[in-house]
Amino acid sequence: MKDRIFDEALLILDRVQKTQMISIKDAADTIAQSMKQGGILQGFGSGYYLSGARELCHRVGGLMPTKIIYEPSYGRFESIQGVGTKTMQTVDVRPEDVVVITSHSSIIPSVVEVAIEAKKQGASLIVITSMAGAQRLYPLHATGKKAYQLADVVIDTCFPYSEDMFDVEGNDTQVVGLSYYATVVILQTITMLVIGKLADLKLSQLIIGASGSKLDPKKVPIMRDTYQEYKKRTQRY
Amino acid sequence: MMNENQIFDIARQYINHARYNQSMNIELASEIIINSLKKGGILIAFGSGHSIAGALELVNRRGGLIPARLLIEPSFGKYEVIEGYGSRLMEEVDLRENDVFFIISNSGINPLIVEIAEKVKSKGVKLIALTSLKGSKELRSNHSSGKKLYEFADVVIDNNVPALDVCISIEGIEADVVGISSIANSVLLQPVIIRVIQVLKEDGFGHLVYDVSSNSEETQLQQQKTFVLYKDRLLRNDNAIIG
Repeated sequence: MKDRIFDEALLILDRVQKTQMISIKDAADTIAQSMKQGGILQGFGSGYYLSGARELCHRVGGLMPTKIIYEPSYGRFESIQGVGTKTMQTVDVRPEDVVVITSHSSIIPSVVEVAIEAKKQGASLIVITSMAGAQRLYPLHATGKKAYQLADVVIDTCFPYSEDMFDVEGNDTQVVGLSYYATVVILQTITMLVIGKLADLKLSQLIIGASGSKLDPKKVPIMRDTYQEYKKRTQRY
Repeated sequence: MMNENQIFDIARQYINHARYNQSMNIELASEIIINSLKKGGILIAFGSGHSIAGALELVNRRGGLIPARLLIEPSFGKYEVIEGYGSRLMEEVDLRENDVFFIISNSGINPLIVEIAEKVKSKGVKLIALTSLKGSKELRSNHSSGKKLYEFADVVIDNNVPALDVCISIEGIEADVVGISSIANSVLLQPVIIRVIQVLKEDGFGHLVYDVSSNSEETQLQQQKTFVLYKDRLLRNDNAIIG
């Protein structure tokens, strides 16, 4: 069983690498351009996919102008229409920002509403989703919309619908699978490419260096000043 | 010139690490969880900051375990370096002898993690740690006791990630960047949980698993009964601390 999981993980890497690099680079371009213009990256994921936002935001070795869009129920009420809209009423999203949504299905009402509100504010929207699932599933929001349909850049996790799960040998059931694995590889590849672009743009102060790393001590005050500049927009709470 | 495929290459190395170096620890961790759940215990998973991703791999998932929950700490990592916070937090957590606690922490050196681990073991509860052994050993503990997570654990799954959890050098950036632990952890945690589910089903404890593939009335009824059995310990809003 273990070997099947590892083999499946290798296949996921191959599928994403072969088919999604153009979209991944588009996403990285969008984020780097946003940060060049003073925008921030805002990550959102409902329930389990909160992990996607955590992967992109406030992470050592990652990007500094970032913020998680917290939905206070952590997905418990994600299927109720109005939850996403209400959440976004108190979130400061600006046209120069990028909102990144991670969602396996793209059809959950709170996820759709966050996407709608992000676009209303004129922000760029990146959605990372399973296209096979998202296209096949019936929309759950009254508008009939799915999050990926609103996106400027869509990255496909390349999971065929419901094949995010493993069959347990000898049993007629399916159990948890690797859908998040594809997402996290995509997110960290985006982070790496954005950092490369920021380095080219001489904007390395927008990167969170690990304390204890080989960071130039002269740059620490510059990073602190930059953090102060962005603090109001990127604070965690 | 940046190699845009670097993350994919590194991810493949971590799959090999999980397959060839951690099989035994994956098996041992699975056995502990199986024994706990068979005795009526629950799995409580915790990760601070971005390590919450690992905890979320273990609980509240479609096709996952019913007697499993997340420990959410209200500061979301902000207080992780404050001594006393973890101990105080654990006073409010309902922890019982048949439970199993699973902590995900790359360095395992911060006071919050050390104090949670200490409290778990002081109550005689089994502790599984997913951490970087080499990273943890390279770094000095941030807790005055000098202890680190792996020293408390009954089983350690080693993710072999660098101490500072950064793995990529980019021209023009002095420090290494890009966190890799979530990628490494995902392929270590999935085999644990899948092995647990496999054995539970084989041994007649299938009612402890969310069976999303069956819509039969019998299965639905069985799952409802299981929920009722564990309701007081699993409801997300029964206590402000555990989410």
